[in-house]
Amino acid sequence: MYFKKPVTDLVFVLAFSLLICFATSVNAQWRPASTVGITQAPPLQLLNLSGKPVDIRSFKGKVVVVNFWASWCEPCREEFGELTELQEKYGSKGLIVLAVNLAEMKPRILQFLKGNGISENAIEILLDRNSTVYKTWKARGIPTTFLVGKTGKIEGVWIGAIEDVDSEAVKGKIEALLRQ
Amino acid sequence: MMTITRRSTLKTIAGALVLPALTPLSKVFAQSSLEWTTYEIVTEVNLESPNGTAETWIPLPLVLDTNYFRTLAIRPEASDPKAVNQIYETPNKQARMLWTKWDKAATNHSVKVSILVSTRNRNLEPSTANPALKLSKEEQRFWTRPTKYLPTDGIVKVKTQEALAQVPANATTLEKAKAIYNWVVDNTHRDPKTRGCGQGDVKLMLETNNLGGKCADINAVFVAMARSAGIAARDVYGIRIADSARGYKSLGKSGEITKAQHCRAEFYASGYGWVPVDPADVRKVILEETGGLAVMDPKVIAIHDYLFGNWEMNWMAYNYDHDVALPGSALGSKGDIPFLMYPQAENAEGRFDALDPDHFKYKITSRRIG
Repeated sequence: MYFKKPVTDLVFVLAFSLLICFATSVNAQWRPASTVGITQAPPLQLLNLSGKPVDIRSFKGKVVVVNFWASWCEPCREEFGELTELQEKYGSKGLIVLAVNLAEMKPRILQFLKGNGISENAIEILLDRNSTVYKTWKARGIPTTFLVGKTGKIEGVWIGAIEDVDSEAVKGKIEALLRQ
Repeated sequence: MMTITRRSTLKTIAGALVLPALTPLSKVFAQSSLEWTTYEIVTEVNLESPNGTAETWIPLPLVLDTNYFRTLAIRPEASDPKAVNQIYETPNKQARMLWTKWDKAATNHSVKVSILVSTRNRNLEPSTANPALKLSKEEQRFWTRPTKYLPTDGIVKVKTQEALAQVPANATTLEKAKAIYNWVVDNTHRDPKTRGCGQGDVKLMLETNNLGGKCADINAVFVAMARSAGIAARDVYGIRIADSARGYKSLGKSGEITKAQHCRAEFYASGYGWVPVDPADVRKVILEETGGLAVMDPKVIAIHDYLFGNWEMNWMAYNYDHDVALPGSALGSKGDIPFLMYPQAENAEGRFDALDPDHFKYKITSRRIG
């Protein structure tokens, strides 16, 4: 045995090990941002599937939905169609959906999209290869979705899968923010 | 006496090959006794990566040999002659890895490491205590320490007290550990949807009352609870390298073992040394063996009894380390990983997905050679 110095307590979490895939949408509501301990949208600058950088700051004045997901996460897969519908329905009204993929590589993501008949351009998919954004946003599991208002304030956190974007629980707050 | 160092240890290939790799194979086999079995494990990494800078970190077997596991040789080779291979040991010597670096001129990112190991089954003999076997205070403190994922207070303490409620205050370490082992087997379950081997976030598991997971979760619960009871305990990360000779199809893997990573656990009992346990594999048998077995199935009862104090050594131990810093990572401390059981890699685009060997790419094979 060989240690004088204890192993550091500064534990940083690698994506694959941190991901708790919520099996059910237990909390079917937008919860206050204080749930995760952040009030303003943290930095988010990542490459998209085309290799172009996307910065959340460029969407100031829009309502942004930031969803953390992975293709191996069953609720995330089921939710993906809801997110594309959200983008399609409210995109023209000023809504941007950013689907932040956790730590997966592009071939795996393309495989998922192709296998489910989803266009690469249906929503903006961003690659958080190092899980740094995931950690910064303090999500502790996937899927987790943040609703960011026009000023960058986090207006709600949805923990677990969004199962029906047409439900009042989901769209009520989004429509209210879009009207502001 | 412990050798103590604060310094990270870097060994070049040449240095590494001075180790057992230079031992003639004839001598290697001459060392073998009937109860030792020798395997060759080959890990091949071929990054799906554009030209340019890249790094890989491949887990290697235990730094120190034990009475059940010996490393006979480590032979790394990269196809690019300019690639730099180093065998790196973590500062506390709890883990080592093959660290390979390619510069910006690299057009191929392939590396292979062949490992020769010998193993023999571990069996606790409760009737033969050796008073000389005991941990120093420093070692005891180290192996009972809390970590971010393995807290020893709060809900872990509460659950430990629950597990030990029926155990007399003057019970032996073996008796206390057995009570915790039984609690873990009785209260956890294997969740086949858990990615990889799980994450081992014991606090989150207990807080959410979700005690489903895989080996890194279930055995981590044992380790955290044992530590909470003052019993030195640790996870041992590794990989299955052969089929089980005990008749459990779910507890072995031979040939291609790319996805056969498996971690186990140990606790220390004075007089007996490190005692092997594996509550996670009890749950694996219950879930998977012949399509699923009842808890009271004789095959489950047998493995439940066996995996407290015994390990079938159709498995290679990688390391004991938690919160592992990958040397040279562009991510710095933000790129630390909870444990090292899968090959890791980075290029200019960032970290590769270690749990996606098909796109990474890596392949691990095992064959018995003696």
